[in-house]
Amino acid sequence: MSANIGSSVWRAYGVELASRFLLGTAGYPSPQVLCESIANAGAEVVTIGLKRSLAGGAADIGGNDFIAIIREYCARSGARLLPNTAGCRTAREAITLACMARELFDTPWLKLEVVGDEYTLQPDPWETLAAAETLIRDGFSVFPYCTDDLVTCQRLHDAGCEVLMPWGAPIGSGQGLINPFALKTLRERLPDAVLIVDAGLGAPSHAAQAMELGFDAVLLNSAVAQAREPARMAAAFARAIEAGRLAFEAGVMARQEMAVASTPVGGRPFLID
Amino acid sequence: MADTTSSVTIRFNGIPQPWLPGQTVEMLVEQHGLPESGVATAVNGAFVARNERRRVVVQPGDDIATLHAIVGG
Repeated sequence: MSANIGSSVWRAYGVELASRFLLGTAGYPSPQVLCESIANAGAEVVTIGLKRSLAGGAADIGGNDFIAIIREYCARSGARLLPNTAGCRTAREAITLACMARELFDTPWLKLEVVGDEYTLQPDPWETLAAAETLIRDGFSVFPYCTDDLVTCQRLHDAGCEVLMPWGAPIGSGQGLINPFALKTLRERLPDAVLIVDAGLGAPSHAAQAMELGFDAVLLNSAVAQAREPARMAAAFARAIEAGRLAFEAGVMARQEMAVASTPVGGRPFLID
Repeated sequence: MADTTSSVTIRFNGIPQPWLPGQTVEMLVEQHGLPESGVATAVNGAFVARNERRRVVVQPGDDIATLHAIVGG
C-alpha cells in the first residue's frame, strides 16, 4: 500500500502508535503461532495477565514459553505490554493487581478489568471507576474495559482515563457490535477520548465496522486465537482494521432511505413504449 | 473450639505452612525457589514491592501470595 494513503498514527497516553490493532495473547495453540499472529497483526501493543502461583510453582513460572516469546517479541519489535487485571471483582483487588503488574512488567500501562457479573462478564462500572480514580492518582495509564454506557464512559474520562475501552459484545462471544448506536454515540459525545473497542468481536468485518464508526483502535484475542489458522486471521483483521480506518478518514457516504441513481443519464435514453 | 493452628501457621499461595518468627516475604520467596524478579508479592491482599520484601515480616495467619506473568486478553 502506498504510504501516503495509509491511515494516520494515533496516541495513547502520549505514545505514538502506527498500528490500530491491539492483540491479546491467550489461547493460542503454540508460542510459535502466537508469535506469527502478533507479527501478522503488526500489533504494537499486546495484552498479558497475571496469575497466582501454585504451591511449588517455580517450574511453571520458569517454563512458560508463551511469556518468553512475548517478551522476546516486544524486545525485538518495540511493542508494548498492556497488563490486565483479569479475574478481579473489586476495586481493591484490581488496585493490588495493578501494582503487581506495574512492578512485574515495568510499565504504568494497565488494562483495568473489574467484572461485575459472572454470566456475561460485564464490567462493574462502580468498582471500575473507583479503581480508575485511585490508579490515575498513583500514576497509572489506565485503559478501562467498560460497557458502551455513555455516562460510565464520561465518568471514567473525567477521572483521567484518556483511553476508554468499551465492549463490542461480551468477552469471547464473537457477536460483533451488538449496539452500534451506543458506540457511535460515544464517539460523538467523547471526541477527545481515545476509544478502543475491546471484546466481543468475531470476524474482521466487525473490526472494520468499529473503525468506520471512528474508533481509534481495536483490541481482540479470541477471534484470532480460536481461528483455524490464527496467524492468517491476524492478517485478515489487520487489513480490516486498516480498511475501516481509511474509510472513516475518507468519509463514508451518507445513508439514503431510497435509491439514488448514480449514472447521470438525465432521464430515459429512448421514449419507446 | 477455636482453631489453634491458625495462630501458628501462614498460608503461602493458599497452602498452610508453619509460621516462623522473623520470617520475611523475601525469605519465603527464596524458600519456595521462586525467581525474585519473576513474581510480584502481596500479603493479605496488599501489594508488597520487591524492595520491601526484606522488611516485611510475616505474622501468624498471614496470607502471602505471589503472582507471575501469564498470557492474557
